[in-house]
Amino acid sequence: MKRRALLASVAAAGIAPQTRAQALPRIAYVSGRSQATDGHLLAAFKEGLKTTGYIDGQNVTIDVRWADGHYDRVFSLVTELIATKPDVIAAVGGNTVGLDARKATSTIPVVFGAGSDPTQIGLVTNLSRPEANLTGMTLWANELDAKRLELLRTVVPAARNVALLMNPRNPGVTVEIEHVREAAKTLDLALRILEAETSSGIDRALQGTTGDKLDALAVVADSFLINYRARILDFAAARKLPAIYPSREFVTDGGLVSYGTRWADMYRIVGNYAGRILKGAKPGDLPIQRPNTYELLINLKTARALGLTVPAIMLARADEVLE
Amino acid sequence: MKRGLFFKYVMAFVGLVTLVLVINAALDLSFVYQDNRRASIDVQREKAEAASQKVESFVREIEHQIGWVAYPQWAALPVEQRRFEYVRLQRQVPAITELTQLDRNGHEQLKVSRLSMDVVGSDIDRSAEPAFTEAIANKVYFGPVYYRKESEPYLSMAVAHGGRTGGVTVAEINLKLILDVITQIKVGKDGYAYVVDSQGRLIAHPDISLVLRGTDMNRLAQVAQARASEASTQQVAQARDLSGRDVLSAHAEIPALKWIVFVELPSNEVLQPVINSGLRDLALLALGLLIAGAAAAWLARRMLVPIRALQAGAQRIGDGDLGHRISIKSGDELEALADQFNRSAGALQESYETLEQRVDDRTAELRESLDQQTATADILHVISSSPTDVQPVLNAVVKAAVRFCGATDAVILMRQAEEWSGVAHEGPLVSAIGTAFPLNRETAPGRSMVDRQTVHYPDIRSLDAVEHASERAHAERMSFNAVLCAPLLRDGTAIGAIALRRREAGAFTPRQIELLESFAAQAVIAIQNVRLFTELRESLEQQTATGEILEVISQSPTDVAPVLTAVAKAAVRFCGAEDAVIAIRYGDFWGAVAHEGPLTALPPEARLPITRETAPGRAMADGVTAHLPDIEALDPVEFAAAHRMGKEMGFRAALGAPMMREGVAIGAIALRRPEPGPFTARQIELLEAFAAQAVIAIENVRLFTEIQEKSRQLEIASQHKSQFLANMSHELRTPLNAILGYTEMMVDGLYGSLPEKASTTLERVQSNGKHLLGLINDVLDLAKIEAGQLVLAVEPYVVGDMVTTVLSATESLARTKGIGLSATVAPGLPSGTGDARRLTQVLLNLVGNAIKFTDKGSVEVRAAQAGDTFELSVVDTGFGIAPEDQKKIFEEFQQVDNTSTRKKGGTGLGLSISRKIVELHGGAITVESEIGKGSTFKVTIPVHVAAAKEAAQ
Repeated sequence: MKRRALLASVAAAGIAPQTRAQALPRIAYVSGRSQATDGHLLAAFKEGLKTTGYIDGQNVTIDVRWADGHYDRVFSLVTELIATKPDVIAAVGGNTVGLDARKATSTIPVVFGAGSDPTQIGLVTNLSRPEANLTGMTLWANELDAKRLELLRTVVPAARNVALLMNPRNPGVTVEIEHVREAAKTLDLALRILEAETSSGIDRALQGTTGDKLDALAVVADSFLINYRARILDFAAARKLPAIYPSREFVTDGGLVSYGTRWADMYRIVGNYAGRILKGAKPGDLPIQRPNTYELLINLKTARALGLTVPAIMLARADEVLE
Repeated sequence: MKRGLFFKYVMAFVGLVTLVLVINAALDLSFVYQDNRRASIDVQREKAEAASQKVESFVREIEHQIGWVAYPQWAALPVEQRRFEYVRLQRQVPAITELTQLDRNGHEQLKVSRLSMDVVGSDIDRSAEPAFTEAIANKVYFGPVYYRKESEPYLSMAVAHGGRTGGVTVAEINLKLILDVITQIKVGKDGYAYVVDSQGRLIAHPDISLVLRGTDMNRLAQVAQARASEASTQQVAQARDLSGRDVLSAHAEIPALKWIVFVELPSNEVLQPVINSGLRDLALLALGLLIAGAAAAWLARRMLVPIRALQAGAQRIGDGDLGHRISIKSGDELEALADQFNRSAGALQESYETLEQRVDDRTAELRESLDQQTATADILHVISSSPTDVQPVLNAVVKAAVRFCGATDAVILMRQAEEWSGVAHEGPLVSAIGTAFPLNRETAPGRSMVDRQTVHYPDIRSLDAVEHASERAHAERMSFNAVLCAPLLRDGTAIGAIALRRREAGAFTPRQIELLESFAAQAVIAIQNVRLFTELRESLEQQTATGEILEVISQSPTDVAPVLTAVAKAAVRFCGAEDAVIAIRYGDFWGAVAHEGPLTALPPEARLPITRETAPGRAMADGVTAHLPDIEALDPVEFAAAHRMGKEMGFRAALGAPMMREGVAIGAIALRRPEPGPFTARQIELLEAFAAQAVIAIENVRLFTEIQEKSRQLEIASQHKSQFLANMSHELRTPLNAILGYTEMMVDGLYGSLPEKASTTLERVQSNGKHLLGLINDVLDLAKIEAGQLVLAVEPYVVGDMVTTVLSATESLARTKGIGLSATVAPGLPSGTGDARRLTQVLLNLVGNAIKFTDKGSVEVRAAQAGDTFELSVVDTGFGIAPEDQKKIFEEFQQVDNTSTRKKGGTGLGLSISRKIVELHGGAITVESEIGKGSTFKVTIPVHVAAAKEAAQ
């Protein structure tokens, strides 16, 4: 065994200078959101990358760009990074980021993180065998928009007037919105749809409800909206509205209930895929991954603040209950 | 450098050790590999069993969990209760995505989902689904694996609640969550486990992407084989995984689910211990080699040092250091070998020293031999460069003899009959060149020539004083004391000798004797060469002379004088004489006719009687060659004339050879010389040959002159004949003219009328007379022509007039015979110049002949011009003339000999005369004819004939 170790070290000594002499592989990481909201997801990405043996700054260079919610800037950020000749592009933080990357290059492999069904928003046509230079994961978030209405109704059985905050420019939402309307009808809810596509639009939409009778709020899964969750949470708190959110981050920040995928898990997958592509895998050989687990978070403190008694069944269902 | 013993020793040792170690290692590796494989196979099998149990327990656990809600009374619980329990179940089992409660009738009562909204009391009839029927029948039902969105593997599991009212709970299980189970299964370092369903599709694999892609594992041999076989666990197999690596594969089936769990370990991992063992063996091998190498080197060195010393010593001895001795004190065979070497070197040194002496001797011999060969070559060179003169060769021979035979002096002596004299000499001693000595055995050269053997006197003073008196006298006079003499032998006859002389007494060595003999042989060759060459040259010259004389003879057939002069000149030249005379016999006298040389010759008109007093006279008188070597020494009476002439003309010696024809001397050829002395045999022989040639020349001229004289006489006779004929014809014609004239007058009745009978007779006389006159005229013409007396009277004429004249003269004759006569004269013919009368005669003759020899048909005369000539043709349709006769008819007295011609009469001279006349004009007459068809005679004459053409021959 000593001999083998010796041999290995000799081999390593022979290879190491060569590796150092060559330029490190580059990963371009473009997020539609911001460092502040998604820093932990970048960390998750790096964790996933590490499972394939790549460590940022050691044997791989990651160029990170944040669009800070300005989705109109994403495309120029992507092209800017393409100039650095990256070996793989991670396009995360919104459905449109992947679409922009897809538009910018047809040769550099792209690992995207999509919120919606990639086949429906036009990223790929086949999940198990994605074509061209794209692969990645989907949160499948909008699939749960209807489920979230049901859960909201379970928490607040008396609620009748529910506001639904959505971004009309999110292609995933527009597909799913009909299901949501149907669900509302089934649940005997009157939906008030609030559309917001800019940060000021959020304020406008939320302020527009002033004076209206609202029993509860549901936030549609949308990366843009998630980016401005603080404002939404403030609004819910100010209006004392029980609300359900698409991700745990809302609840940990003071939101009442969230139901959705654990995003960090999914970003690990993106990191893992980026690493596998650096090692030579073709995007077409990497199936687009869907979430395995969905988690329900309930913030009992918020519930108390709202004067709500969370039904037993919700507690039974909850994966995490914040006191 | 060559591979030495050292290398070989070391290689042998190392090779042996390597062989042993390699065999050991191979056996070791083989056992290690077998053991490892067996162990791995066992582990694999166990792992496969364990893995299948884990996967099964994962599913069974879910089944067990569902069991908590699956009791008969559960259906009776309030819906919220049931929903609560389903939610709780989901909490317990994350893999369950959806739970559905079917009532006893298979109608859907409740559905709780993680993804979609819960549904209560939809009452959808699902009683026909296998999940319901199978679960009712078997309590538990596991559906086939299916894929959501064509990607995620799902399993439907149904558990019956039991009892009469209990329905069925159907759970949709996301099989992606088996991933945790699968990845936990550790096999070796890089081994892994995976699960395939009954269709061979991948359900679980550490690389989830393969599962999501719905990889069909049937393409792997081990999967296809496992699915095909019945047994729940299978033999471990060597196989390949999806990326083509060699793996050790084991599997176990989960019977309830009909899934197969595979456990695979890369073969190289199985081989790792073998590799380790191999490395160990390699290290051992290297160590063994090192030790073997060192041991071999030590041993080889021990062997090699003395061997190297031996090699170095042998090298020095080989390089010529024969005094070197090898010193080895190893006390074994090598020391003995070194001693042997030393002894060999000693022996070699000894023999080498003797050899040197012998080589020196041999070198000296070789040098001498080379010198002698060079001398021989020099002599041969001289021989070849001096083919005509023997003297330079002899000089070279004596020089070489002195140089190589260790003599003071060398002489070549030549024999002349019974004497000998020196001809070439080299050396300081006195020699008697030119002095003749008698040929006897008293001197060394004489003895060697007489005995035809080499004579060797090492000390002349010790010779017998009587027997060798002459030699001793010579020796004393010329102060030499040793002599060696070899004869020059040609065809067994001694022609001379070569002698070596030395002042000091002492024997010549055998080698010197041998050498002298070889010089003698060379001298003979040279002499022989010169003789042969001279003979050849003389023979050639003689032939040339003969050729020249013959040429003169042919050029001068009528005059003998130039020939004889040429003979005289040739005799002087080839006989080596100064003066030659040719004498011719005139009856009993002779006179000189040709002379060559500086001496006075007899004037041509002088005649001397043929007596035996002079050389020519004697030769002619005796018919044999007369040789007078010294006239003054001859009898003054017997040779009185010779004495007289010799004094007058200044010669002392003479040689005369007779010129014999049919045994009679017709002259003689003589050589003269102012000095007395004999002529050589060769001179005599040559002179006789010239005499014979002179005879031939004289004979030739005589014959030629005779023939010429005869032909001249013949010609004169012929002319006489022609003259006679001409005269005779003339003489005959004159009286005949008188006869005819008188006869005519009588017929004309000038002498009164005659009786009928007489008149008829007279007419006959007249007719025959006229015929005779014609004949005489013809003969006269011919005679004139032959005698050269016919002269053409050249004048201008017109061809047309000539033709008209001829036609009018012959018209009556033609009419009488009843044949046609016509003429065709080309228009515009110029007037010609020639003897018109004679030409008319020719034409008349031709037309006459044509009419005469034509019995029916016609005769035509044609005249035309062709260039500078006239062409006159007479064409008839008569008998024709046979080709063989066509030439003859132009000769004198010739007629075509057949009855028809004889019948026509004629002298046969007409055509002959015509031909001569035409030829006198410079023209020609020809005939073309065919028997039975007729003839065409054509006369071609120049338009203008030169005037006064003399009669032809």
